[in-house]
Amino acid sequence: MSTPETILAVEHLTVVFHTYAGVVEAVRDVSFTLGKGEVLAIVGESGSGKSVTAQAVIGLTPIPPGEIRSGRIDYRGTDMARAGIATLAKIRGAGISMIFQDPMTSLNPSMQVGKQIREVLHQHKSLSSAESIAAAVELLRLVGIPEPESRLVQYPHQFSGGMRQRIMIAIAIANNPDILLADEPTTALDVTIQSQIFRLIRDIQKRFGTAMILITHDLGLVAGSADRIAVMYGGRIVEEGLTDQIYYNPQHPYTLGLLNAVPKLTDSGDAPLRTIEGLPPLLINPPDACAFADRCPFVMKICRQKDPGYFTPVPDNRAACWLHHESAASQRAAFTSARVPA
Amino acid sequence: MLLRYIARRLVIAIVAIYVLATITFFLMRLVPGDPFAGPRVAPEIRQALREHYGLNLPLIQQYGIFLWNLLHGDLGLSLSSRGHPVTDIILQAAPVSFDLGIRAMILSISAGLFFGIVAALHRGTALDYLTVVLVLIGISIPSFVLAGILQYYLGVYFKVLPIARYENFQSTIMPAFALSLGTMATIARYMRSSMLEVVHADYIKTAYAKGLTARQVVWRHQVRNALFPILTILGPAVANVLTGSFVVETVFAIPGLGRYFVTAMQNLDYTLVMGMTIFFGAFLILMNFLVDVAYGLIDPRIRLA
Amino acid sequence: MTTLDPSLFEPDRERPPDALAGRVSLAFWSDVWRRFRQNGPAMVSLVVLVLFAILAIVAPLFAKHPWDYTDLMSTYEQPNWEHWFGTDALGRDIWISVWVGARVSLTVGLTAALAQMVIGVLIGCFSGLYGGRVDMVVMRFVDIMIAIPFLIWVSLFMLVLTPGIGSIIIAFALTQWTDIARLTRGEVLKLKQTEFVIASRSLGASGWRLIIRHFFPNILPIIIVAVTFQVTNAIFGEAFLSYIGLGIQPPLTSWGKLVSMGISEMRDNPYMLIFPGAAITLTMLSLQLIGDGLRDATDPRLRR
Repeated sequence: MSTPETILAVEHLTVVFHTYAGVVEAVRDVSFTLGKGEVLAIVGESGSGKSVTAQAVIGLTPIPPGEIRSGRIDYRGTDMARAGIATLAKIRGAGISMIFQDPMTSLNPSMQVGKQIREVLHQHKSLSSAESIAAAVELLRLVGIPEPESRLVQYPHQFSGGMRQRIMIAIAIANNPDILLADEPTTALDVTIQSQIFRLIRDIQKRFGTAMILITHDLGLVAGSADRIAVMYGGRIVEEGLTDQIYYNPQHPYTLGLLNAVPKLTDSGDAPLRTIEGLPPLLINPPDACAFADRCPFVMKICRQKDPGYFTPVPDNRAACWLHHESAASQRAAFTSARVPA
Repeated sequence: MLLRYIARRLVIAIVAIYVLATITFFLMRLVPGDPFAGPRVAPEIRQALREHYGLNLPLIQQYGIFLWNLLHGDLGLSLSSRGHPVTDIILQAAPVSFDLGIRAMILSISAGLFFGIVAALHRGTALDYLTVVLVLIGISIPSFVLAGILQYYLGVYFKVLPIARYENFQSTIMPAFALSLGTMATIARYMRSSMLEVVHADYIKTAYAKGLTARQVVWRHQVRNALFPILTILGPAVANVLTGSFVVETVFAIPGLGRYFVTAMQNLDYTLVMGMTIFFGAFLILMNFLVDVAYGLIDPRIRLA
Repeated sequence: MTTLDPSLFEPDRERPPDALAGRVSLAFWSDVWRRFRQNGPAMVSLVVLVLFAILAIVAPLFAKHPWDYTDLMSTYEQPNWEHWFGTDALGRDIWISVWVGARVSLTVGLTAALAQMVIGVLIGCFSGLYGGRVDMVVMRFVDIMIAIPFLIWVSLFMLVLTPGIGSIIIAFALTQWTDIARLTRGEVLKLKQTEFVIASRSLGASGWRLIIRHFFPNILPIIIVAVTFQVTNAIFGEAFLSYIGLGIQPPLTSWGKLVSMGISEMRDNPYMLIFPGAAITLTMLSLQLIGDGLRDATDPRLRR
């Protein structure tokens, strides 16, 4: 299989936040690449650093209190972590776009919807009013909003949540970006609408060949959509691999925990939900150890003393877990047998 | 339905004026003794007053006369000004007060918005702290203290501005400023916090994600939405300016409504006080109504509900 | 890669340290105090107010003469070692006058605000709990009361009642409860929508106790902040009334009276306005900062 040309390369990114309680290391030494037209899902619970990573990619990290301490985010030769405001503004909305979680508050309530779409068009292209109006109508039609001509002049409150998210998608793809970042795009929506919107995003991505980074806390959601999955915990990528491998052959206890947490049709009706015990760590002065150690059912002494780094137990995969060290054979066996057959 | 919204507000306004007039009427009747027999009331007009108000009639009929007069724009006769109709006094003094009030409002709104926006945009810098300090002083210093100090230092000590009367442009500067400071401080403070609140809104993130520059985001999205809540304090702001005028006009000897009201109270001129109260109340109720209408026109959520 | 001791790869049976250790949950009020303490201006204001209160109580006790002791030999004296704030037209010491006036102004402010609180909370609870028509009528009434500016209301009342401390407090209490009533009603309405109400129906009496136990801690911070601001209004209002002559009557004095005398003497004796004026301004400023500080300290969204 030919590897697609890389369009985004994140190298050793570390993002910290200065808070009253101390310096929180939200993203710690994260590296990954994204190929043209590829869909990468970043999965993790709240506080894992996934949203912060996406924000950094598009250059929207709030600079005080945030700080990009180290690393490089390469997009077509520009380092998004260090570029100037003018450069970033040219890329945002055109080369890299983002949709956010809550459609109810992501649109300006006092501005007509059509104006908000045309704003992103005019920002990056020189168009006449007539041209941008026509383009906006087409975009609304594309995202499935009926009677787009008359809806251009309406205000956000006149649309439902699902439709507002469609408008957000329209804004994001207006300039046919190379990369689309979707930060939990369906989390805030009604369950029935979630799959509709999700399908829309997927269709658009396939149609335009846009590379996409999909951020979610729901492993179940991305099974049919992502090419690759990166699992984040405690500000680090703890496992990354092809979708099938992650689902059928997870190599990290946390990934296993996430998979087990999804209730299965074969569970009996009154079986308790499987959870991962404990709470995510506070990332202030994190020690040099595995962040998941306190919650890991397979924890070993070394897990609390030294950070594992990456192993490659199976091809096209990396996992940050001591279980894959040659000396951990017995625990690794326990891990392998603990995996519930899919 | 915008019309329904406006109509409702109008009805509320009219009812409010009516209730206000009624309360004032009965309140004045509660004054111990006979207000019309006070020492300041010239004897020759007592009879005229008695007839005008129908004081010999039962209370209900007096009330009826009162309302009837009110509908005809007759607010009664002043006790201490020898039976001068209250309405005439008001009409004479109103232009001066309106002139002063409008100057003060323009100053408050423009300077207030300016400082609020600038402080929010430069949050945490010296400019921001300076604004916050000025705001705090502005809302803490009572208007009469401020008026007195201005009058002394600018008028007497430095002799820069005239200390009294309202004849030329220079004489409007100090009173307008003294009158505007409290409201200016309030507007600045609310605008600043509104801007700071809006900056955290998700649609601001969206705006940046579109590739807009900071200046575009601020002016097209942030300021516009931050202005909305300011409308709601415009009503109380007008009220503040009105009551502030009592003091400022007195200190600077300006022949406006405020000063007449204060002297009316000091002279125990009950009818004048009553008439002016109804006038002030009706004016403020009307202002609040207009602000409500403006809000309905501007907020798309109401306009197109 | 350096070789690692195989024994390190044995399972770790120790209990992990308590993950919750980093998140200490504090009792509500001690947390509020902690946050308030961090607010520099608010703490300074608190000190200033306490200082003023102490001076108001203590300073007149140490005076050689009562405040209205007239000494016609030393009228209009500039501030000097004998009279720290100078003397007025009748030779009365202004330092003492200011602190006697403080007693009146602070008392009026505090009492009026507390009275407003009681009335406001009662009306707000009443309106919120009954809801429906009752609520609508009460709220319309409130709207009308708000339509008249506060200074006009109190002036009207003072015309009807005989001027004096008691009437001032009554005038304020009867007309300025509206803000607190609205806040209370808002909280009651919010509470009505929570599950507590449903629980009360099934739990009966103990449910009510539960509601009260949850209701008051929620509403108390809001009320306290509102009351703090009401004190500023009351102090200002009293000063205004005294300035126009409808407020405190002799033999008492208040900051308002002192300021009104000071304004007429501004030309030659500015100190007569400056000291009482500064006293009022500092008090109102301090109350404002304390109110802001309390509001920030009790705002759940600002928890660190």
